[in-house]
Amino acid sequence: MSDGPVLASGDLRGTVLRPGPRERVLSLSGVGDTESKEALRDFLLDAHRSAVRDGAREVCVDWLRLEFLNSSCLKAFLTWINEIRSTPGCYAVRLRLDPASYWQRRSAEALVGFGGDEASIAVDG
Amino acid sequence: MSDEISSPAYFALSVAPSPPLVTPVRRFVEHFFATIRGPRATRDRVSIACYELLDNAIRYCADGETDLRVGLMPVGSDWLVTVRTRNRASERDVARAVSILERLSDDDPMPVYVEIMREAVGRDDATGAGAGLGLARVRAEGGMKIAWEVTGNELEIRAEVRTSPEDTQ
Repeated sequence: MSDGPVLASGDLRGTVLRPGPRERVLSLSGVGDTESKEALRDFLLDAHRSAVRDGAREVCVDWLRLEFLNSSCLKAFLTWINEIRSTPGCYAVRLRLDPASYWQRRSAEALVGFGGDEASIAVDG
Repeated sequence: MSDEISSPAYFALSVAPSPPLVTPVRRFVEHFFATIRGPRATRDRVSIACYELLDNAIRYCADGETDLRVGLMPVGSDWLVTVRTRNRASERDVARAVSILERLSDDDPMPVYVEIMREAVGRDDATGAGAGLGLARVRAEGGMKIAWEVTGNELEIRAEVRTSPEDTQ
């Protein structure tokens, strides 16, 4: 079942799925460049507010079809993780990566480092 | 790296400041490395470097001219891959870039990268422009060493990495 905001900005696309009552899957595809940075930030923050409101336990971010994110779009993820860090008892994050992608693995490691102990971020792939 | 290229090789582009050109250039570079069957990790390192260095060079270019050069140099069975950008910029922007590059010079850039990420989030600017996220990605995510040279108001940034045919790190 699809739910919540849909992202379509430049070459970047995103959808929110609700596979279970307390789960969210944010699927991203395409290229996130400077043109898409604000739309991506708004997409993530809208999804965050919705997940908190509904008591979600886990939000999975699917990068399997994501070709590239630039640093401006990475900053949108930092803003989102910062919101998670400042929300007590917030949901856990799971990043689903393309196992063949070096940049995804390295960017995911950076996001985990940024989240520190105040955000639960696991990486698959 | 494939034996299709067995001697030093390079390509160079002069880019007029146009942000929409950055993604096509990145794709071209990825395609180039795929064509010579470079390891995926090397391709991604160079992709990050090309995108972020060129994006910065275009964003802070003072006179409408930005140069990008990507070079390959065989070193035994390895390759030395170099991505270089050159542009003129304001004194303030050059000084800011050099300050960020100096911070990233440590052998382990990850702690500085985390600091820079936290600084970027604290900025009002939605892009985090000027925080150094792009340069930090090249150094920390791409694992590339970065050198720079300032001549007058011209800034040259050179990111390089020595990669093996089994580059996966």
